[in-house]
Amino acid sequence: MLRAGALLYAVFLVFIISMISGFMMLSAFHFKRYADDAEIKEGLIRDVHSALELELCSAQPLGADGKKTIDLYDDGVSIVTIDKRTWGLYEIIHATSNRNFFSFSKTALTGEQMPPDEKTALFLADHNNYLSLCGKTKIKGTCYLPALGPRRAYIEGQSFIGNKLVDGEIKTAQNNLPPLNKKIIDDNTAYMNGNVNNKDSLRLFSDFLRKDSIICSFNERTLILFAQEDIHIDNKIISGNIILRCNGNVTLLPHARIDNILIYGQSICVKKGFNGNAQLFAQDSLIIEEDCKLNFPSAVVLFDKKKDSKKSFIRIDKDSEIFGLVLLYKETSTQNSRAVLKIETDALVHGQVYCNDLMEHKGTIHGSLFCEKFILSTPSSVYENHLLNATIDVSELSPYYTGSSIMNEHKSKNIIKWLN
Amino acid sequence: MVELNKKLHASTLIEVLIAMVIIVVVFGIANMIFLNIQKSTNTGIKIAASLELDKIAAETHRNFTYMDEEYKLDRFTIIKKVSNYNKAEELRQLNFEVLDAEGKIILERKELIRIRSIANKHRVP
Repeated sequence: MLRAGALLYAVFLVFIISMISGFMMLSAFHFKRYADDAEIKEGLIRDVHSALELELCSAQPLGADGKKTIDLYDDGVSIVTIDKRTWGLYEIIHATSNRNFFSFSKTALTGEQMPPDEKTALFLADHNNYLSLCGKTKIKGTCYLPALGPRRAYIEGQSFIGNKLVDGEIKTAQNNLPPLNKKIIDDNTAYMNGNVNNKDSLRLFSDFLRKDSIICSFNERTLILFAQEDIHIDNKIISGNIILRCNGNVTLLPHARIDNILIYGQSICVKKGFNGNAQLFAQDSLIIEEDCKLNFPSAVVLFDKKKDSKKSFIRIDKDSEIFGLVLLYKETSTQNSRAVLKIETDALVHGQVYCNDLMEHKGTIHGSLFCEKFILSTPSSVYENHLLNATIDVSELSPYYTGSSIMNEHKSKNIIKWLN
Repeated sequence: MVELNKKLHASTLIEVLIAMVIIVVVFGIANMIFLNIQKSTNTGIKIAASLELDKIAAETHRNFTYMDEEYKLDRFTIIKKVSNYNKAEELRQLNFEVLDAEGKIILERKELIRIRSIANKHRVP
């Protein structure tokens, strides 16, 4: 009869070997799984970026729910869901891709990159009068001017200084400005009138008065803060996916930190020394006081749809800088009801300016200006279609500048910045 | 005093031999399974291929070399192909394939690129 004393040791050793082997196999399995998962995650990132590229250069219509699904390579694997919405004068595209319990999404603020050959310095509608230039006025780039063209003038003791009236090609302008993109007007007017999207969350601004910061991610629902009375924003951070809608007047003070948000108000005043990034929409008046800086991509917009005699205006004061878009839209302009866009001396707009009523330009525009008519108020008189010591230079605009498709929708768009 | 005639408990030679055979057989089986798993997954090769592919893809985007190319490396071959994309004229489809020594595809990647980005590279600000 065999005694099995040594077999006990054998069983013990077999157990140890099995344990070690098991751990090694488990580690190999996890190693493989980790590598496969990493490849899937990288694939999701590539698919989302590819879908965004596709959406930027060839936008297909969205479904009834405001979304659409794209099968990138028609293989049933690379499927990306696209969700788009207007964000002020720009557009937000949200792309999401899912595979094997993994998900990746990206949100981008997009705009339109102006083709280099289509860059216009000045478009002045033809109302059968000259464009009179005085002082150190500088216009550089392609210009669409009235058929009578530009001429030298002498006002306020200053005649035109310079060799060329216009440093660039001169083309004949039409009687009217190119029309604005209707979708942008309609979408923003709807928010101004208080229409709220079902997907948004509506809260009273007064609920947040004691909070020092209000931040909402672009992955969440849009937070609409509603205020019935005038509001003053100071010592507060408001950032992200937030729309501030006020029936009264909005005042932004220099200690407010505003980033990416939209503000709709009856009148908006940005106080001296403010620095931030926002899109401001007013109906009566919009004042940017001295030394303010609105960083790219900002927008200063006045939509005046009223027919009363109240004078609506945008005023950009001395030493203020706006990087983005300035837009004045007067729906019905009559002799008694005019809207004026004033850019004061030493104020700078880097981007696009569109004004379909009166434009008083004494500052600098690095970019394009589309306007119906110039006026120039001096202590002694008011001149029509005169520019004194003003600068319009489209060559100073970065070739990578991405603006808004306010006039016509080009097929090709670009990403302005990532929002998540 | 040390007792010299004390009887020690020990296993017989046959017991020890049987135990050793069992241990060797189990160890062999475990080793075989482990090596089989390693071989069938090719994880190491895939990771190496993925790293090489990352390098070539990054170089392609940096230098805008959107053209058909083949890279022969020690353990595998990487094939880069650029073709038109049927859903948008402005886009190109960039395909990468990594083949092992036997010509079998071990890794595949696809992405879309905008041809305007090539023009941007040569634009003078």
